[in-house]
Amino acid sequence: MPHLGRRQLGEDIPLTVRTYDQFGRSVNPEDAPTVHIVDVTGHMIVEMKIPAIDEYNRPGFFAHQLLLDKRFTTGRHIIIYSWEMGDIRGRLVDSFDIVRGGNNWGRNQSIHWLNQPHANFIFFQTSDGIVHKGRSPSIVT
Amino acid sequence: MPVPLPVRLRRPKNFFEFQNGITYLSDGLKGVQRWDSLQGAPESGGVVGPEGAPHLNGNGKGGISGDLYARVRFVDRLGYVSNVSDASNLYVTGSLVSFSDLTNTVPIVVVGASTGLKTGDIVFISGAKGNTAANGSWVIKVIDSGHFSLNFSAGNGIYTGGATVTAGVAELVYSDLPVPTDPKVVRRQILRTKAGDSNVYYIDIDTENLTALALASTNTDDELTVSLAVPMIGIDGEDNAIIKYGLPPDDKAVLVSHLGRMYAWASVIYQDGNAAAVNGSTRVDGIGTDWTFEMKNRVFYSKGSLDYYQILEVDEALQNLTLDKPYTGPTDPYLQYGIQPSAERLNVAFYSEAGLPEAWPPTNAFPIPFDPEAGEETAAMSFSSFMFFFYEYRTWRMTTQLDPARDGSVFRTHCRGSVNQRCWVIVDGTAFSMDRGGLYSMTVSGMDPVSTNIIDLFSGFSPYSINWNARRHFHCQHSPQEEIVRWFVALAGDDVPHHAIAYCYRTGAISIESYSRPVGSSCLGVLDGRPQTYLGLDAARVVASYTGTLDGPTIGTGTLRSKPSRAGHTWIEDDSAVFPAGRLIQQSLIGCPIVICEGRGRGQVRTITNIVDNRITVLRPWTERPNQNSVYQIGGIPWLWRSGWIRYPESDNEKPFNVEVIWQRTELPSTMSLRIFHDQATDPENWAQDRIARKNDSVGTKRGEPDIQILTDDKLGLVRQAIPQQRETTARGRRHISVELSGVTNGDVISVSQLTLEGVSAS
Repeated sequence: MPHLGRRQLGEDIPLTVRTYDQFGRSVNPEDAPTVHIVDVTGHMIVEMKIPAIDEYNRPGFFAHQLLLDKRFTTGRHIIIYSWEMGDIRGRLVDSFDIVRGGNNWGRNQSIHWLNQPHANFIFFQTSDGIVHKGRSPSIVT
Repeated sequence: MPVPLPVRLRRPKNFFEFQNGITYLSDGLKGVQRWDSLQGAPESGGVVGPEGAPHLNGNGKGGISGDLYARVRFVDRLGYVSNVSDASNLYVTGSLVSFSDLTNTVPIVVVGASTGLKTGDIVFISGAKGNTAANGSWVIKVIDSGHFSLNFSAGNGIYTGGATVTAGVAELVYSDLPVPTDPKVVRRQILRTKAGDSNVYYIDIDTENLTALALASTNTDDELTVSLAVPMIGIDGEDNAIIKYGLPPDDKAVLVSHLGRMYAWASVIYQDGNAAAVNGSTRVDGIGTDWTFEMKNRVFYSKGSLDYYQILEVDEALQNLTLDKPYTGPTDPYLQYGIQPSAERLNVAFYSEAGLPEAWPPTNAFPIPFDPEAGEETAAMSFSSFMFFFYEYRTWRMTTQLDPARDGSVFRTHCRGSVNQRCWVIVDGTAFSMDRGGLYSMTVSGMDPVSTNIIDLFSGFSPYSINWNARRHFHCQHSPQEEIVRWFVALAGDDVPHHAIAYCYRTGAISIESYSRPVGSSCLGVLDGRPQTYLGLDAARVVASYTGTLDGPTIGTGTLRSKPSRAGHTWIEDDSAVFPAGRLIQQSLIGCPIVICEGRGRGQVRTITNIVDNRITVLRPWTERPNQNSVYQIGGIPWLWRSGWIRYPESDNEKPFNVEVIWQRTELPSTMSLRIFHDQATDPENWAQDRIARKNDSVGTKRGEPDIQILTDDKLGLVRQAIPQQRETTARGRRHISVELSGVTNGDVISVSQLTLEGVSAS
């Protein structure tokens, strides 16, 4: 089973799959492939479809960047890709580990400094889309 | 060629601080938000106005008279108002009074009136011909059962008919009152006209009661005179209340202030994921999309088709759209599509009322001439007395004095643009920006490219080319102390910035900085009273950059540099190390980089995920596992300097060739490595002998390895190394030399003051 490595909460994990027919040729299935992500207890965390990439007009390539957000916890996770083409049912399995550290808010992707008479503020948006506020920053020692 | 992954991360919001101290946030996908630093979270910008119209009626007999209308508007926590509601029904107060004449006397006497009026009541007279002075609202004095006079009146002619006389009411009752849906609304204002004027409204009721459907007032026209007058239409015919306080546009990603107005620019064209569309169906399902409710009324199209559809509904939870007409293209489960504002909103800058950042009449729109080669709208900048509108490949400059619609004019400035709103900065009267052609400086009169030397980075001909698919995450920051502007970019292989192109505008020098963690954002703030650059990293961290020599840990909090006793796939153990325990570790060490700076595994940088006892666990496995001779540095920042190619002289005459490095001695142990390259080679020269670096002889080499190891705590602060000479002056001899100096920081600034190559000449 391929392993996508050790990850931390807040990372974007690349979900990629090549869909193929019984001859191994890359083909687009009738519907977008479905991704299921389950933890080691079998609890399903994510069920979603992933979109196609057509950078080079080639069929059968699908990818999506998934944020390891508050739905996830540390431990082994299994990714199951599945698709259908007529009577053919395709299925691929990946895995990854979430280790300690990180932050399920994700990456800081936008920031603003606000100087006010009563305090200084830092507003920042994390990759889960939420905007946060920090007050009068100082260096942690 | 590897297939690049699409960068479909959420879009960064653009922040903009207006002169009222409120920060506005926009991304063109969700509505504009605002934050005044007092609230716990941002709230929507603008005030949603009332739906529907109130109903107006009256009770009893009293001093309120005339033909009246009412409207309602909402007021939010900051005092910003909404548009007014539709006007109520026309309410003619009280009952009609029958009469036979309006005398041409002082005062005017109403003859033949037989009502239950009493002295002090108010009547309203309208439509009187001949004796037109009788028109208006009057307090009456009852003379007898058939006559009453109008106080302080004087006739101006013989009454010829047409008048209606209406008795006033004691109380006005407003019902069907709209209830606010906007959670930040704190007050409702009920406005009404006075007798004889349907344009100017006055605030009759100003209440914190947001839920009552009916309210009453006994204020007479005289009492309203002291309240705020709100004319619907101004003296120049401009709208003052009906559409003036429209909501900020939600389809523009950029807000900028210029001469007291807010401008909205940069239409968002959303193309993430696929759409599953079925021929003949009005429903489209999203795959890997993040469609928002605000996309309602925007335009949906499939790439390669000229058919456009208006979006009627968006289901955010199920990620599907309802189109205004059935999809006419072929059924496609992986449709490449786009969602954009309607055509009349493209290439148009919207702007607020002056001094009112949350009042956006839809008529305040300024078109920018269409240029098919301009690319997408990307950024806006207030610079000098002009407003600049950036596209990907073009920039337009607008000038205005009072109102762009009346006195604005626009000119194309140059054929350069900006990557996004966060990729330009103004420094001392010069703006610096980045587009796909590179970095450039601009003034109001022109532009100059400043990155010609590294143009391959932008054009795609370098192996380290910029990944333009990730351009929405690029940003720049000015560091005043260093006189440097840094553009944080994602190079090939990255989808978020791990590198910065640092441009020193004083010297013109450009360098590339590499960061061990993604730098998603940056801003200039203050720390201890001085300007300070803050960087936004992964794991929701904000760090103050360039405040020390280590990335995270503080000197004196435990072991930061040592040799591992043993190492595993994703860990090292150091029996001699003393790490701080408990929460302090969490704060100071977890998430920090650890660098193997000497020995086996040199150059590897990993992120610390845990420290238990004397074991440091890292996120990614070691590529080359360190051993007992390796040296690790927690929080170390790798640095590297490389000279250009320098030519040997044609005739060396057996001159010595030496390299000499002079640096400022460090207190804490650290090392530098010197490497020699010849004739465009990508691999450095290897040394032929073993030499151990030690105090007082701070140079070490290993046979078959390229590094000249230099101990930076050597008391001399100087090394001198002979360059091996086997050079032929004939055709195939060595011609060029290049020197590379690198190291990893410890607790001191490593300051190299001089590097000398003896026996060569610059060419």
